[in-house]
Amino acid sequence: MSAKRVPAAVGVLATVGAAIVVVPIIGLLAKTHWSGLVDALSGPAVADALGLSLVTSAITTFVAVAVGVPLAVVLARATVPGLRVLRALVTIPLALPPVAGGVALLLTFGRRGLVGAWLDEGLGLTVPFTTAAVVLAQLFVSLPFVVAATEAGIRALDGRHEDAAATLGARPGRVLWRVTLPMALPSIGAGAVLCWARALGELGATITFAGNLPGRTQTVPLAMFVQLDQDPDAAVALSVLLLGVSLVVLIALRDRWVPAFGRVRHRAEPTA
Amino acid sequence: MRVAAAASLRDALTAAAGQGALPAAELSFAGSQAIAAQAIAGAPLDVVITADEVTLNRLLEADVVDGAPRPFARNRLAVIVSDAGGGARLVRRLADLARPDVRVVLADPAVPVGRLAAVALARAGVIVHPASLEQSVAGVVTKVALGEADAGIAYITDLGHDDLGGFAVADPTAVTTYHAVVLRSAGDRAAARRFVDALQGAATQRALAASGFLAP
Repeated sequence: MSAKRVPAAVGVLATVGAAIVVVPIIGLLAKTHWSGLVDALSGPAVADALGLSLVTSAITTFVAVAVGVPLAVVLARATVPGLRVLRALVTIPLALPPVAGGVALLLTFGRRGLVGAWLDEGLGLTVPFTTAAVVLAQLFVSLPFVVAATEAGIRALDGRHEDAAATLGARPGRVLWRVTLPMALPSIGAGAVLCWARALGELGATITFAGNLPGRTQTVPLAMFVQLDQDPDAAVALSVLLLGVSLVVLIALRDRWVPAFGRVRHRAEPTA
Repeated sequence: MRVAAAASLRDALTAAAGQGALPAAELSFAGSQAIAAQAIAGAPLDVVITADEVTLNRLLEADVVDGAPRPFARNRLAVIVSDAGGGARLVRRLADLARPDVRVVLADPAVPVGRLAAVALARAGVIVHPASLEQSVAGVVTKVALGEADAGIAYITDLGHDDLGGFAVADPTAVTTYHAVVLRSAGDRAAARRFVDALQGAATQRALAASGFLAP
């Protein structure tokens, strides 16, 4: 639709929708003490938190794609019973309050937890209060994004190219790797970006399950949360930092890897 | 009427309110530093109760307080251990918290109990590497009670709950005083002052003593 053909009512609602997101961001930037920003951000605590956030969210995204894409393939293509239940379960973290997710992780992987007790006694491994726990917490809340986006992308494919490849003799694995996934790549990319963004901003599950220790488990959102009670200017500075990092990555990715979320572009000729 | 109180007062004040020792009010509990930040930012609270004087001073300096602060109870630090975990065996003295095989959880130094614990440990020359810095004493208690940590530093009023064992910290400076203040933004200041008066009343003092609090 060209601008001339958007109904006025739609335009008004759209403006309200945009304002809901844009105005608070403007509010944040307006109240930032720009002159003191560099000072507020140049402590070792900030460098620790930022480094930890970037490393853990990157690991989370990598693992989420590595296991989430196969899960999405199963949900989209497999014919075993119980898939609807599985899909619902995998989507639960999207609706569950993050702290509840943290509690669930604690009761499962904690030292007296369902799995954790065995890990602790059998292998001497404890999970809570480690950086691995940070990744687990992030994975729990952001894996659904990869799965949902990828499944939608695979389902949107009409199957012609896959059928053609199979007719030409390609085994299912080859069809998947050379036809299906390349064509679903934009959706996988969109899911990965959402996953990374969610992992970067994760707070509730992390603080409950991984704890709060600078250098090991205190990510930028945790540092912000802690600073809010002690030094609000520092909290604002960290918010602006996170906003900046997110903008840089999202703009750098742009349409190159991430067309509009969920929109699937079919490549003209899949490699076979 | 909205009253925000330090997390360590939850059981005692809720019991006192249940017994009718306190005027009707909506009680909420959190780390003192979080409550102070909210009060300073303009949250609609009538009475605020802090667990130490540092947080109280923040409120006074921010000029949100009406009238004088009223001390009404004190508490002492205690090392808490989980009866079920290894903590009970491994930790018998404050110095045991420095052992590498003991997993310790402390409160963040911004939290009253965390600040007090840091001072007490420094005075005793004990260097602890905590696994986590919690944002309220309730966080420390939960982690130890769940067995995720072997030991932590909380208050003597936390001993005996949730299967927690442990011992008081003997250092004479390891004691903190609770103060209640009425906020300028209180809707009904007279009612808020009555609540604060009731904290020093005999019935509430009995409930506090029953929970292990020390007299002001």
